[in-house]
Amino acid sequence: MPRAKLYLVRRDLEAFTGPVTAAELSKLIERMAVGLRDEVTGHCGPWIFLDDRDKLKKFYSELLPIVQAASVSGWSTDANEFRNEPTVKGPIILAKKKPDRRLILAAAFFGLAVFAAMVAWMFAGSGELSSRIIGSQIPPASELTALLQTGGEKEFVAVIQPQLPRIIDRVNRNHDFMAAWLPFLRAYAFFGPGEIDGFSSKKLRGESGVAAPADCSVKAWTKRWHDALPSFNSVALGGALPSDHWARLLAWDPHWINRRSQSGWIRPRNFYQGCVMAAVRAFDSIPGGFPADGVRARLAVLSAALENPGKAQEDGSTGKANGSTKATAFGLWTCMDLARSRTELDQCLEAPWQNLMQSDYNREKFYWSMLRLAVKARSTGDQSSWPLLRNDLQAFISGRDQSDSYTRMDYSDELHFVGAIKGVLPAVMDTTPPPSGPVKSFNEDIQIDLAH
Amino acid sequence: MQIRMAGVTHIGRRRKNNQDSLFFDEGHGIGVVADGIGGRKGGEIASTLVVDGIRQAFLASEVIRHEEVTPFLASAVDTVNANVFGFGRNNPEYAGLGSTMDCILFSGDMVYVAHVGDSRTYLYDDGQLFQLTLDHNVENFVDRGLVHRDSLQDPRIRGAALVKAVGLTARCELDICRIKRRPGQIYLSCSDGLTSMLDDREVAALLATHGGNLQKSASALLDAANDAGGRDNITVLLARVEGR
Repeated sequence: MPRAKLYLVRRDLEAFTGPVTAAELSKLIERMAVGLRDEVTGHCGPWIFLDDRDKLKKFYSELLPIVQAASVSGWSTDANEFRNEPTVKGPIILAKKKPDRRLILAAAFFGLAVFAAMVAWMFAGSGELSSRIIGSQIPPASELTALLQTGGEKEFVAVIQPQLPRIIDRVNRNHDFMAAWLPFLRAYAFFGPGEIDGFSSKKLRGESGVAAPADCSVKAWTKRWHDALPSFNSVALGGALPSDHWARLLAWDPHWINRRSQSGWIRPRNFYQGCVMAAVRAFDSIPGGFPADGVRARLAVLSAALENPGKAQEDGSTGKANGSTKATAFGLWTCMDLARSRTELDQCLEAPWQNLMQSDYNREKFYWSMLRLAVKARSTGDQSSWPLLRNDLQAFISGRDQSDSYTRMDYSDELHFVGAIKGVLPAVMDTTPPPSGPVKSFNEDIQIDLAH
Repeated sequence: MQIRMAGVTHIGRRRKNNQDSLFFDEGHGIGVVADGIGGRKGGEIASTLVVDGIRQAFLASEVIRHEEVTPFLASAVDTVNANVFGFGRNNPEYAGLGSTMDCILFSGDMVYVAHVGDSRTYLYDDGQLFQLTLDHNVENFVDRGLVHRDSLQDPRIRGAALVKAVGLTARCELDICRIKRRPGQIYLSCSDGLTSMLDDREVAALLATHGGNLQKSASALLDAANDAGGRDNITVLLARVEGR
């Protein structure tokens, strides 16, 4: 007896349903256990999205009537559309028994809608029920973008909150909706606990925050800070750096972060900034005193530099004030991050941080700061700073890695931009094509913002 | 339900050394296939670090409950990735080493597959073969909109170029998928030395012929890949759910 042809269904590259026969697949779609944005494969065949009519016709044409029927019933497509066909036409084999049932459902739904509208009208004066019904509409993206860009965080959260379960449900079923809504979900998460129930933390994070901890929720940071309390003193006074996320975050270079990809983010502007926001919020539960105040000051500087990059550049002279009353490594890192010139950077080598420069890592951070100034000099055509910076960097870079040994931030793009330290400073921006070399991993989607 | 496993790894006909590594433990229902990249010695070291790292993490763990499998796999791969990445950093002569990894783990009534790179895991069920994993290469990522199409315009980048591998960067994103197991199913994990030589229908036909004997099936797949040219190292891991 010939075997029935089987199909396997996949959702988000994570979970499989089946293998099942075509008839079983039809029932799964009917029961809403499978959606048209899921993928299907058959024996030795490719994976095809169920709403990709052309490919489905080519590889699994026997499934086409099933998904057409599902599409007409309105389940699992957001605009009643196939991926590559605006409207569904043609014979619908499995829909023969459906019209009566659908008519009954439609009539019942219509009746309910009329009833709801009447109740809403009756309660309109109190403003309670009517606002609920209005709130069931998901607001347009343009409105949300405007709220984020004008600093309307509270309004943004208030608009999203009542719709969240509905939005999560849709993004989890619909790839296009996911792409459109990811920036808003990220904003919503990091204005709050840094995570969203029912939504993948992997998707929230994206692919580009490679040097950041995987879990940047407020909950994770609260635990990290409390566990770290006994180590604050040693790190502050220049002791050995622990291999912990909290200390790495404090050493982060805000300028490096601001130069990284912001694709898929609005506010925060990338995962690193979101991570700092969550870390700052979690630090509120830490009591004051030395050296916690130094950590708090360092977090404030990072936060401000990421929120307003331009202002961080103007604040070079405040580096020392931003440390704490005692000389700490955190204050030294801030001094280096805020230095606007080689002269200001040199001042970080003097008191009160002089002794802390014995640490290998602090010396290394000094040079990464110098690289930042070199990038700036290269992009602005600053003929006076460039030769000095180039010579110092050349001595530092030769024979060492192109990444920060502690924070794991990869500076290879910056090094390439400044001409791998060998080039001369041109009067205009460098437009040299990158040298040929091994294929770069797309895990690190780095772009240098030369205007910054 | 009991799990039966069999596996083979072979240098192939063209390569001078075997950069693939294999580990499986029938009693615990876990198996790992890794295919090293990055120079002759580097690839071998990377795949060994991957397989040993996963094995050690598994042996060092307590009983893994159903809901803990995904965090366990993610954490084990994080550790292994840090080891391979650190090895490359500390030994400049091996810079750029990395490895693919497919780990198959049976837990309760589910099967979990952790996947990075272009090794593959298949399900063979009722005479039909389904590829469970997505090759992490440029072509697939462009196709799914995860990498910009312009990338393919760059002559340095080939469609088959790997986008993800263990140890290439400080952090490794992996796919973890799960599927309900059923008696009679056979899971096949293999390096691209098998799939670049045999198409899926040839693999399915060989499993249909020898499916009753896992060791014979594994050897038959390996021999067929070598007969087809054996251009790369070949590793085959088979796991069958008993009980039917």
